[in-house]
Amino acid sequence: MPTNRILIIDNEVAFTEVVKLTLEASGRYEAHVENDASRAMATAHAFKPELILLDMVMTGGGGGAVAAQIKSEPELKHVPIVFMTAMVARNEPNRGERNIAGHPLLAKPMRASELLGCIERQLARRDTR
Amino acid sequence: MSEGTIGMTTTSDQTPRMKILLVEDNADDADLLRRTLDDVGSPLFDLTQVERLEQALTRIRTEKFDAILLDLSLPDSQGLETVAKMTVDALSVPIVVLTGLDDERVGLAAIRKGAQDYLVKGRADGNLVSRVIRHARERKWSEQRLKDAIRELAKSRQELLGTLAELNESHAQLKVTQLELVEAAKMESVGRLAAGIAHEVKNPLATLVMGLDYLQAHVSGTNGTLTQLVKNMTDAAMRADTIISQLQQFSMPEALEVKVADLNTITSQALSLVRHEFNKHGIQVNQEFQSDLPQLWLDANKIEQVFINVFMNAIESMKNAGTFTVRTYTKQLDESDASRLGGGRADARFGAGGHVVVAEMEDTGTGIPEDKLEKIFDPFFTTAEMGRTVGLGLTVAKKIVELHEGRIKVDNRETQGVRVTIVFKT
Repeated sequence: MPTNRILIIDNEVAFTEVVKLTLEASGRYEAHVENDASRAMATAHAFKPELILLDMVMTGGGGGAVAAQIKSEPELKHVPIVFMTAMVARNEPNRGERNIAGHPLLAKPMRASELLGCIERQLARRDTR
Repeated sequence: MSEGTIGMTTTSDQTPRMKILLVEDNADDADLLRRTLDDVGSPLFDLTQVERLEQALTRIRTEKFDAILLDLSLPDSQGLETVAKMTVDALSVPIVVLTGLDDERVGLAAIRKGAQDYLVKGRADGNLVSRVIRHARERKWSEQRLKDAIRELAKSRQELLGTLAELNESHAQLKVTQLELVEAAKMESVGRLAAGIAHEVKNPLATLVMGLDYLQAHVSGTNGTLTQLVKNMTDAAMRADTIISQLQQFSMPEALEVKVADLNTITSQALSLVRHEFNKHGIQVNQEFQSDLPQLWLDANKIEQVFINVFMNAIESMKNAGTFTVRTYTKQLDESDASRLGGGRADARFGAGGHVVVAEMEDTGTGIPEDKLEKIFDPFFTTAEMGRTVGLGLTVAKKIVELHEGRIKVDNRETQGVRVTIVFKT
């Protein structure tokens, strides 16, 4: 069964480790972690992800700036981005529809099922384009 | 020439004549008095005679007299009673009582009843009569001025009391405002603190929740105790998240994104978001929506949050089943609504007669102890068991509703449970 390549860009080392475990345990994804925002672009070029999980607030470069850079690179601009953040309240209304500049936004902490469901939908959308 | 010359032979024709009403039924006595006044030698007095009190009262209602000479024994009124009746109608006209009795006591009693002076018939010459009349008038004027002064004083006192009351009210208002400002400042710093720590707490929580979900997938089916343990840990982590989220909402910016919105749609949406919780606790939900509600200008997301917070409180109070009713309707406020909503005084929008859209929610839960009712909107106040909520649900709800210039009221129902009323002006 073919797997999709997911790049996780987030400062939180422990969090990225468990997300990587979760994604790989599903059997559908190959995950790669980058904890240093300043190296995000280099890692993205090297790993060639099919989807990027990107934290909004990181030391060494905000998620928004990283996203803008990704969108400006011809090689990467079609890669779906899923934002994650600890800044919004999870039970704020319309969390399902929440997105930033067309990219979905997951409020931390999120359940594994929410994360997997979101990734699946984004990849499905990419494939139907 | 002034009135001071009355009774003197030097009186000129320019002196205004005094109009005198003589109330006397005895023709001889009247005649005698007329002649006595003629003795003064000049047409100083313009005398009008009537024989009955009733006639006198009729005259003074339509004519202005400078003085009244009043006999005390008339066909239709006797004694001091005559003076009393006369003074009621002849408010500003001096009264001189004529008495046939050479008795000081009757004269003095008449003065106490409101007459200005008295004359003993047949015992006075023209000069005395005219002086008595003049003095009576002076006395009446003084009395009048004193009354006016007293009235003025009373009025000033009333005004002063009014001003004092206003000052007291302003002072009380200032105190309240000051307290509110202090409270607002406190809350603002709590809000900033909350926003700051939320991010720091949620990242480790995210690691925990994701890790626990991973563990769950690996223990499920193998060991019931472990499965339950992991589930409990996940619930605990999510509860911590709920509390942090409440703090975050509390500190949220006050800007509203208002759009034309339908309150029924927002209410249904909010219900669907917590439907699972209602079901879990065996709570029956009744919806009684008025179908033709007028559209309102609302921030749908924030109002939805208000409903969710109210719903969660209801669920908290009905752990072992119950009935929850949500109603929407339009209404014209009556006096009792207005006073309940605090309208009318400072805020005419919620005065009697105003048209409003109401969302009313009733539960059959444990209710709120009466002594706690006034605290329910205070930040960090909660009747729920320790640690389940942070006590900001209604604080946030109130803040949001008031940002929409609406009102939210919470009462205990007569029968059982709590009624929450949210009112928006149409």
